[in-house]
Amino acid sequence: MGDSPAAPQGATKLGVVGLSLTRSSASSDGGLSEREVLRDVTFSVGEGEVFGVIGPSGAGKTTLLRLLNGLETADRGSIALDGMDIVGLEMTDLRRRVGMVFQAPALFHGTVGTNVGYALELDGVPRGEREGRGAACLERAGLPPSFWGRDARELSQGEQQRVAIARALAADPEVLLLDEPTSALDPAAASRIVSLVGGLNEEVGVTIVFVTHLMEQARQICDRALVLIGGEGVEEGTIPELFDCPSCDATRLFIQGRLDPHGLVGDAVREASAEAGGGR
Amino acid sequence: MTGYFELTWLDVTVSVSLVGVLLVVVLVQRLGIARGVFIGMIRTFAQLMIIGYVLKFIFDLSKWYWVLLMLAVMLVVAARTAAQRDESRQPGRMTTAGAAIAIGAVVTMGTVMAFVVRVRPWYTPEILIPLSGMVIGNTMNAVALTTTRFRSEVSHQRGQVEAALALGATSSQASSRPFREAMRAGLIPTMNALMVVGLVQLPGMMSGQIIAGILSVQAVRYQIVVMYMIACGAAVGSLVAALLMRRQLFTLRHQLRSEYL
Ligand SMILES: Nc1ncnc2c1ncn2[C@@H]1O[C@H](COP(=O)(O)OP(=O)(O)OP(=O)(O)O)[C@@H](O)[C@H]1O
Ligand SMILES: [Mg+2]
Repeated sequence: MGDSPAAPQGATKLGVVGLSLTRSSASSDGGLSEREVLRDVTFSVGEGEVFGVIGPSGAGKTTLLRLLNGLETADRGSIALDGMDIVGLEMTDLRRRVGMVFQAPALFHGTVGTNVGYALELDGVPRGEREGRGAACLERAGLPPSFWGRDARELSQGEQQRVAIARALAADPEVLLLDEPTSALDPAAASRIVSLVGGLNEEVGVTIVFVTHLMEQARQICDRALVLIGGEGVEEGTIPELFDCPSCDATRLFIQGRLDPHGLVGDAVREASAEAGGGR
Repeated sequence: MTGYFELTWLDVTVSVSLVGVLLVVVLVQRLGIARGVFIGMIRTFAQLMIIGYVLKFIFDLSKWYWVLLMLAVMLVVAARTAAQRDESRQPGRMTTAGAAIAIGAVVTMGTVMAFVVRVRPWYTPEILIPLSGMVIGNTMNAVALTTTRFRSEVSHQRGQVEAALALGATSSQASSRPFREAMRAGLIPTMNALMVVGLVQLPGMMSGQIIAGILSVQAVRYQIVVMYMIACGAAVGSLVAALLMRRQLFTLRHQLRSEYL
């Protein structure tokens, strides 16, 4: 943290350049409508950093994480992991190195052990060693080892989210992508998850990309962040830079909570300047 | 022949009143499918009449190319029917269904004609056409059930499938549960048929002979072979259908093609 420049200090873990994705969806009149979900998004995440992606609902945050994990492929632009374009990587290897925790926990049917054990099984850990290794992952996610045999469906939302984190940790990733892991939780549970994530970064040293639409969470644990609005990366910088002196009108509006969530960047900026003009 | 009763066209005409009952039920309850019932009634009559003549023509000529043409037509109709039951936007559904049914039928009929019913020539239409028809029909049902179930399972378990992919699972690993569910759904009707055959419904091949008053031990033997045959066709068809569906629902880079769900 502190006052580093916009670019990360030290080695770049994830380098994203000019990422664009257009999606066609069936519109109500039966035709197909094209929309740009991401447009020319560029940013870089430093090794060992907690990097925030903040933006309003529908900004494309989830889509961005799906691209980083290889669940989708961009139309244009590139993603580099440790300087290597991910196009050249085996997809299954990429995903083991860049883990992901979804907005909804999406646990597998069965016990907590089934879930965490699945990641270990993919890693080739023999059956007998899974529970021991898995218990360590549970503990890192803040759950006691006694959870191993519990039915995943009978857990609370917060516990489920922790199991999802433990499952992702079991693959021993270098980067962990977290998509609004607190969106279904009450404020107290949410803040415990947020501090857990901060702790993981410090203890395990895993690089974290943390998606949220809550400014406070970003302020709490992120070193730097990207502001994503209407599919465009409008500003990247350290948390103090973004919060105290945003260089872009859209960022300022968003931080003040005055951005129309469905508005595009162009509109927001136009609105902002109209306001600035009319205010005098 | 004792007990054999010859049907006249008049008798058949009287039987139309049975469909009349269906039509009345549909109309009174306003089920909105009266048109379908009417068309179905006409089609049953027309199709069976026409197929009677076509089969007689093919039996008389006994040429391999007519037999194969007939089988090809049966296959296309089966593929279309199976594909229509799968209500998705995915292109190539009919090819998938056609390939699965064809492979299931060819493997089964090849084995049967080579090792069990070793009739010569192999294309003897009186044998090959009805046996193939039964295999194709049953495989069609298995394939339709497998493909629709695969798609709906992946759709329902989309979160879990993508969570597995995100952990580094291959598309086959991530879809192993939908795959099994789909194959099970495809095979259960055939399994049930093996369990209750003869206890509830007498198979068509035996019924025909019983009514004609000539039930023979031959018919029973044939029926046993037919049951094992359709089981084989369903198994191969369902497996091929599931494999093809998996190929189509995922990209080679192990990404789920959600636009087809
Ligand atoms: N499969 C899809 N087909 C068409 N449009 C899509 C698809 N997935 C996402 N979108 C669109 O892309 C945009 C960005 O979606 P995304 O889920 O990435 O937003 P988000 O920033 O994660 O929002 P939230 O904070 O609500 O989770 C939305 O407008 C959404 O409607
Ligand atoms: Mg989202």
